Amino acid sequence: MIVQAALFAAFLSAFLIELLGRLEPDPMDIIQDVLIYQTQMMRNSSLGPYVPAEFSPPDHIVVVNALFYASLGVMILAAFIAMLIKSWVHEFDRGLRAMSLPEQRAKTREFRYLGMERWKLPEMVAILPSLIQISLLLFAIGLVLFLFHISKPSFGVTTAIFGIGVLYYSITTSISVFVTSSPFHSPISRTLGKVYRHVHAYFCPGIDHFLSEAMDTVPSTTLGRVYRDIQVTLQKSRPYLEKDFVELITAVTVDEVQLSTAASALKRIHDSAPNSQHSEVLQSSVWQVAGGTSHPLPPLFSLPSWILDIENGEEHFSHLPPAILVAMITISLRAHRTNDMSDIASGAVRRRMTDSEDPWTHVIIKVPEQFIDDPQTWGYRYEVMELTQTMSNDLTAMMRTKELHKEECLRLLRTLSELRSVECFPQNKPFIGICLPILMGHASKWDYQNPPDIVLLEAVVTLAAISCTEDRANRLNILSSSRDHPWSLVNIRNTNLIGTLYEGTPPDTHKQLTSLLFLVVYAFIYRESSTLAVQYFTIITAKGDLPLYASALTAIAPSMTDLGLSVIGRALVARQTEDIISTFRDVVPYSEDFLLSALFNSYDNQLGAGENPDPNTFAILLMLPKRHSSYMRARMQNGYIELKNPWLRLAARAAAQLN
Amino acid sequence: MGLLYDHRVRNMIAALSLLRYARGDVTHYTESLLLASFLQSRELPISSTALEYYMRTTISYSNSPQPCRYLSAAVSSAFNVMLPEEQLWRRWALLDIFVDGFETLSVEWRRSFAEGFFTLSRRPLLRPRGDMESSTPESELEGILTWEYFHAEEEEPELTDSLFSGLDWMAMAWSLRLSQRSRRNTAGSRQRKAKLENLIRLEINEEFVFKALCKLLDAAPYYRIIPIIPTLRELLQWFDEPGLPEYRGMISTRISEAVRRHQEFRIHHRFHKVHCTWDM
Repeated sequence: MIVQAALFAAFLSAFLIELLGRLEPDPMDIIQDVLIYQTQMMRNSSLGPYVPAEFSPPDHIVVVNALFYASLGVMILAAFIAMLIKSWVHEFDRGLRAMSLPEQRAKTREFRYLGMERWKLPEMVAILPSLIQISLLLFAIGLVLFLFHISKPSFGVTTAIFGIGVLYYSITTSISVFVTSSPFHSPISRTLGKVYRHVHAYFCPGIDHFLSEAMDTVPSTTLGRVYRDIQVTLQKSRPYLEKDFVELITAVTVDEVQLSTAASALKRIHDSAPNSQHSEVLQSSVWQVAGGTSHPLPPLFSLPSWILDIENGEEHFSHLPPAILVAMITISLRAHRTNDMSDIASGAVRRRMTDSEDPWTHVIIKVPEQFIDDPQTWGYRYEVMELTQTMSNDLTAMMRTKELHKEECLRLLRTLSELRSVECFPQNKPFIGICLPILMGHASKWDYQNPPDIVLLEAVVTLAAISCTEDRANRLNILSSSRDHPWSLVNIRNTNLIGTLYEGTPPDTHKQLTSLLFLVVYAFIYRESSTLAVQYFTIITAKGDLPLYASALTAIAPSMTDLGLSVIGRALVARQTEDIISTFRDVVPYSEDFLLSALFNSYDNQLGAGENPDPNTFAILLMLPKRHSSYMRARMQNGYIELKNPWLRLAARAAAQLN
Repeated sequence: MGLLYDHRVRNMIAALSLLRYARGDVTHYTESLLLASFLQSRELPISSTALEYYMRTTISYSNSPQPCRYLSAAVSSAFNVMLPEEQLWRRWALLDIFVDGFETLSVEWRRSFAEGFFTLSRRPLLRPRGDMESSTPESELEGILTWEYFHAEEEEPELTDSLFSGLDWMAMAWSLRLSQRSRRNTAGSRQRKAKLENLIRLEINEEFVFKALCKLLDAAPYYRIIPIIPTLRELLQWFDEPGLPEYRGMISTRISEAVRRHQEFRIHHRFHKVHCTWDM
């Protein structure tokens, strides 16, 4: 640093010597003026004594000089500080070697180090290159300005060269401002990065804003849609992590960083010392990251093939925890490297995995059974993998008995989505059967105090949409749009996507799908997102098959509150679209009483006097009054006589507790 | 399948309607027809609760109406020897209503009830639903008003291998009474005794049992009495020999009368058979 400063100062001195004289009057010019004056005086003796003209240096010379001196000053300052810091660093080590006791040496060093940290010595050192850069910049500006008045061609060439340098500097600094992983960081770029993050954070809405029910609907005005697009773009280009969304964003980022770092280090060590102890330890750390259940998203990378080429594979794998084995199979599945799985999931390894209670382990353990060792070809024949109905039922039964945490559910849903999207599981039927118990398990806890978790809903809808989509490109699109920006909730808010679900579903699964979507509608009720609830409801009930809808509704009724059941039940028997809209829009807590009497009246209007009620709809009418209030009883007592249908009148009478 | 044939919905309507009776909200009993229609339910909580309040309703009328045709079957299933202890005990209340309202009830009504009580038949085995031991009529009815009940598939009721009558229930319920008496006076047994007594608020003693038997035998047709005479005699031996001679006499008289009428019928039947053969 000091040498660089000295060299630059010497180089600058040559310019300063030249320019310094220009700040004073030139003696040759004065002599020239005197001679001219004397000649004029000889012609005309009436002239007075010679008075020298007042000297003022040209403005650009003053400015150039100022810039050059400033440059020199900054450079000398840098050299001065560098010398000081050098002496401080010497002081830091002073007497350390003389200390015989290592503990005393360590304590002294730590004491001095803490002082150095406290007084920001590293930051001071970091300023030095910036001082040199400032000095260079001042010199460049001064030189360009000087050449502009001296020689235009020289000015052009110099400006072009300096321009390239400035551009290069600006680009590298800008990259380091926006991209955290770039190697071009400097104190200036870090400062600029902080400023940029603050400015971005000021204008960009938080993740909570995007997750809120206000964003569930598309703005009706063009201005609103443009504003929404700007908000989304700002959020997508966000250069920082948001604390509130840490489990979704940080985990993925950290996951990827850890995985790529560990995998890269592993590769280096493996190349230099194959089968070394370090290699195994590091390999284990890679899989621990990959198979960690704490990460809500599945790992998004595929490791190179050499990582699984291990002698005595079964013995090696049998020492690994089940979660790591699951991660290995998941990654092999994604990469369609099925031969790896046969090694991983054989014999003792499989038994070890079977002991795990993780539902995903139980799915993944079944997969290697789909691969058959074919001795004729000395290879492995790829069989179509099926998430069979039995596996699905086993999984569903497990989920009903074991209360899964949100993170576990998200991991399962997202991994299944990913595998289904790349056709690891070509059959679409069982996925709805898996989504339904997951959502039912959570739905029983929903109310206005505990609104549904919209991220979980998004994961459920994404898996349902992927499972019902035949086209692979569409499936990948559905997956990536949700996975890359989970906060945008693109799938759950995309009612066009929901409209296509029934087309890709076999008719015998329609009831399950309807139940699932009714649960989503139920979630929207407690999310107070009535517009989306109406849109979903309209799509679900487009075919007008009331018995199917009522049956699907009663199937999920045990997980629903009376309020949710009465709102959806009322909407089912509503005769006009306005009634449906008002039913979802005007939901308020404890409005079950009103909704029940409205449900009776609407259904009575629909049935008339002669028709028998559908058993499922009728069951809803009988279940809701179980915990009725005296207010509802009074309403029913007044209103039941007006009912035309005798069965409904009987039910209303029982509900009203009339004697 | 229409709603009329959907047993789940029928039972849920019945449960919802009977809840107000079980909760004690009904003070004036007027719904005789409605309650009678619930007697045919296969769900014991419904048929037994409906039976209790059907009896109360009938007794409250000044002119006792004709009995419902499901009455015998409902009585038969209510007095089931296979019931858990507390439900077994609650049936005394039904008998008490019958005894109290005996004079008010029409002859046909009494006869139908007694026929149901003495009929020897295979009794349904109860399907466990919730905590059977500590259930109340209200909780049993609420158990029907659940989605679990609605979604459960209907199963044919399993029946006992042997034939039972109401007398078997009476023997079992009386033995329960005796066991309560003979148990050691511990805190647990006292609590249990108090709980059973609270269930029906009725003093169950020899006099009540004899009185009920007399009324039942009085109402029953002789041909229902004949098959249960051995069981009846066995039951009578459980009671102290010298006690309540008037009731014992009435029971013996009724048994003798039944035997006599049965023999008369057999003679008449034999004569009729011979006469028919002669004609041929």
